[in-house]
Amino acid sequence: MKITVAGQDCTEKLGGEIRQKAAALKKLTGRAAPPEVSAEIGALVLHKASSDADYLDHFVRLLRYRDAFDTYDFDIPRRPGPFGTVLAGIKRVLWKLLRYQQDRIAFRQNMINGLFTNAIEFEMAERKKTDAELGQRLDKAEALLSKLTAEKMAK
Amino acid sequence: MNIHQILAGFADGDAISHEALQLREILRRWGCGSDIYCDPATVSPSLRDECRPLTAYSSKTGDICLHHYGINSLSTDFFLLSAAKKIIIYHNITPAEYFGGFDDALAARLLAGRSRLRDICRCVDAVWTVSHFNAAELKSLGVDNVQVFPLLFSPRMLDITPEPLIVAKFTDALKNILFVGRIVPNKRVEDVIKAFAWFNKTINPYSRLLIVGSNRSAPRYYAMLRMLAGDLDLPNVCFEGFASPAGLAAYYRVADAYVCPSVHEGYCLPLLEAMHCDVPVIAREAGGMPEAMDGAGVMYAGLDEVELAELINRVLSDSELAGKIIASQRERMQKLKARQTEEELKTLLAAWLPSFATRSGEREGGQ
Repeated sequence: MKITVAGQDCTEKLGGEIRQKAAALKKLTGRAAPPEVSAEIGALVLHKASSDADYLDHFVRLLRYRDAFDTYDFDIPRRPGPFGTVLAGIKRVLWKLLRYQQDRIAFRQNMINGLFTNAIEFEMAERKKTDAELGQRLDKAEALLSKLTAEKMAK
Repeated sequence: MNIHQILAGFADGDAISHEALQLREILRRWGCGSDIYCDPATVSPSLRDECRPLTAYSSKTGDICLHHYGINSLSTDFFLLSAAKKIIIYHNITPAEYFGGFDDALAARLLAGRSRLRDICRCVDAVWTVSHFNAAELKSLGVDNVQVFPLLFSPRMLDITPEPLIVAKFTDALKNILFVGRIVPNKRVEDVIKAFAWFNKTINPYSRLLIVGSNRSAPRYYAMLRMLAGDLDLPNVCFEGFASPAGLAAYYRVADAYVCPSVHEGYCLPLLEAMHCDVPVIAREAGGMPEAMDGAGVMYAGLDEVELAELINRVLSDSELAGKIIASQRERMQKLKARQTEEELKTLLAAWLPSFATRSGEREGGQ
């Protein structure tokens, strides 16, 4: 770690304090911390793509895990003081009232998203099949061409 | 006498394009014929009247041609064929490995740009770079006599009325953390998103991350970033896209801190823009960024996302620290204002412009 403030090296003092506070934050779990996504299916796995085609394969695989949104409760942040408590309470009541409609809309939207993902996967599979067939036909045509060229040269 | 410039691309919000415009202004003021030439396919519509097509470029012995080099393109071939004295201004080429998987074609162009770099530098009359970092890179390739002409910064562009709709949208109780730059892999925007996730979830839920910059350079990388923001459940990450000058001024106006986690920069102009707007700057110590910062603001290295979140928190919550940072940034701006750009340019061009050499000599003699 290195931290410089206004040209002065503050690694020891400021850096030490930051390291200490960061260590305490890292102990937080559940809703108190950012959600954890497995490295296997996390967005940053796309850094491992070796080519454009490889990226697309990874991307569609990741899309499969993300084509629906969940309907779990979410954390409602609360400002300090009585006003914050009242406001957070109102938000919680509103959320409870809207929950049923939200679930219905989520169901429909998730179904559409899922079908779109299917369409992309079908399209990719079809394109790969066509590419493979074309590749085979090209190989055969090249083999035939080189055979004919060799025969012509022999004559 | 003509001193023309050839560019690979000419676009709004692009540091190289802005430098070319400023140089043209100076050169025309000196009475030189000066135009900017670029492939029309790479010119943004708003700047079409500001430049001429590459095919219209012609030169004669005694002219000077400046070529801003940052990627392999047709423009470099035009430059190399010029009959004028040739000066290359090296703005740095992003290492191709950052783009592998995100844009194979661009990665190939960057690789080609780097592989030609030494040969190009050897067949020109002078090599300038915009930072000592870039100069060191060229020296390591065996290029001698590299001269540094730091990237030009004109605060004029930001001294305009900020876009009122943006100011109104983001002026509220939330703390605004800002990133400005093209959305490309070497900027490591994911690092600031991950840090913001910790900041927003564990330190201050009343906060927002504004990501401002063109997302067309690496759309696959941009898609990854949006996916990451979704994974981390961060509705307060705002991908704002490209901003006009008034828009940019508005984002700086509402920002509480500017964070740049880039790992490779030739210089990094947004750092200076943020400093000019009195926004505390936190930047990674990498590439040419320490030169742009020149001892101002906050520089860091070797911090993970939680530590970066805590550093942002300190800058936002410690008024004494923030005051120190702003004071150092103002000092940096004063230094930049005092920069004798035209004198620097005359000194660099003195070998080909005898009148400048004479004037410089007279001045030195007089002192």
